[in-house]
Amino acid sequence: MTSPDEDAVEREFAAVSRRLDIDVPPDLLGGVLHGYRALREMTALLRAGDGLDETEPPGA
Amino acid sequence: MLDAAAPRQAPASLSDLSIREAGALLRSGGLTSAELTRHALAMIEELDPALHAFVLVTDDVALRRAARADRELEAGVDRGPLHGIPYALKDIFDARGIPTTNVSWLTADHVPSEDSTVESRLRAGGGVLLGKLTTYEFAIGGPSFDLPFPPARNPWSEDHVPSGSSSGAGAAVAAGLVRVAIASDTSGSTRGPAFHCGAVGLKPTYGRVSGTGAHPLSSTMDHFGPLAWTVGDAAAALQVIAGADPADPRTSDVPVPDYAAGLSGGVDGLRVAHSPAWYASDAATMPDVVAVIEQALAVLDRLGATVDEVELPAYGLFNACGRVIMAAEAFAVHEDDLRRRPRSFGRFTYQRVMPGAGIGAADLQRAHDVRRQLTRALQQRVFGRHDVLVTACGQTTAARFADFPEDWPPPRLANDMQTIPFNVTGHPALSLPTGFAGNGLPIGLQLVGRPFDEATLLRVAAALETELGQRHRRPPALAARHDE
Repeated sequence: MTSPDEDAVEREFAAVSRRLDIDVPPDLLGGVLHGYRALREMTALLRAGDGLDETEPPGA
Repeated sequence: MLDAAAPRQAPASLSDLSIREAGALLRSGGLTSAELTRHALAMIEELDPALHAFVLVTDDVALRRAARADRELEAGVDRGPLHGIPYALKDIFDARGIPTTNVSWLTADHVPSEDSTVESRLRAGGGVLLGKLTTYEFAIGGPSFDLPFPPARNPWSEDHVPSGSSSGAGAAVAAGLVRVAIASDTSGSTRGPAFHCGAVGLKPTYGRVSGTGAHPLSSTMDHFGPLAWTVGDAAAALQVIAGADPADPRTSDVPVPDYAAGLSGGVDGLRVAHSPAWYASDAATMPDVVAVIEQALAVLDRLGATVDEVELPAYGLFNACGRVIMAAEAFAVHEDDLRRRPRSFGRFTYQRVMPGAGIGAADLQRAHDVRRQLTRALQQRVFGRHDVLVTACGQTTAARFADFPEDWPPPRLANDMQTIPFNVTGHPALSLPTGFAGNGLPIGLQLVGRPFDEATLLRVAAALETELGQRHRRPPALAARHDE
């Protein structure tokens, strides 16, 4: 059973795959989606940027 | 066989000769490259059927190059530190006329017509190519059994993986089949197998070593360097392969110093940073790993270095940044085959590469923005005042094959490693073996240096190698063979 968020991530990846004209073999889809969910968590972390001092001057 | 060929001054086991020691014997006439090469080929023939480190042994090429190396030395031609020394290549590097399979059905029949730049320099340097070493497919994937070649075994325990992706390089060097291999490192693929097999793995600065003729995985994260038995062996190999390459615009023309000359310089006066927040409180880190880092810091302090604790940005940011960039770039490399020939990939590889399809432009751009900030933070917080950072490499000893079930994903991707931050920032980083955990498997630590200052990195590593020298033994099952 997947959560609503997980369903959304699966639909998102399915849309990406269709746009790229890539058919993911059904027996590999579970592993691919697991990896994709992990990447989505990472992109969210990067967008939040907690712990980054974005005001640090360049070249200091 | 070896006894008949053994030269007057040769030690009991030729595998125990460092590259520098072997080179001295080659130059003094106490040993020939042909003898050294035949010894290595005999070791491979005897031990590799159980290790599966090599996908191809190039006997004829090796013996031909060895004979040439001997003729040249007799004639007074000296091509440098690897003249007459056997080496091997991870099977993503091209050597003309010799297959580069990438351990993939997709490229199993590929025979390049040109050398990679690394191979070209090793050939010009008088090195003796023993063969090609196995890898996870396309330097990613996993320890798969659905590829053209079986996965390598860890020489310390056949139930354990050597780690990856340079699995053959780690296994072969630790087992004493070869003193040095050239490997690649995109998120830790040289340092990881070195850590888990008990060898030295050096990821030079981004742009220090050319990637021309090496199959790409992630062009802004890929690094290329030696996996060797000792720090000195790694320095010798780096000397030959480092430097600008007009064919690879990623490379830099920063001068290449004499690495061997600086190895004995000691650490007196150096400033050493460490940041235990990354690893010491992480439940994934074995206490043995923390203990050995603390031991190393104490040694450096005793030898005259100043040791300071520093605060780094969260490890998770480095990890996320590297994973997102690598996923996007790896997908770009393999997109066409993922579309047209999905069943030609190993299961692990497909499931690791395909998720990158979902990385959009905005997220990739954000990852590159964060990358610049993390690189700057590392420069400011560490290398503004310190020469070297000491940190964890692997957090645990090698994983078992049973940890990689056929149905991806396994509970953990592999062993927990803290190597990817320096693929993100491009700083040089070295995996130094320090001994063994309580379970008998190798462990070590990671040293990180300023950009293009591999010399200081090697110097610190050499000092610690001398002080923490208990690791200089071979895997038990192989020790008897080495003593013959």
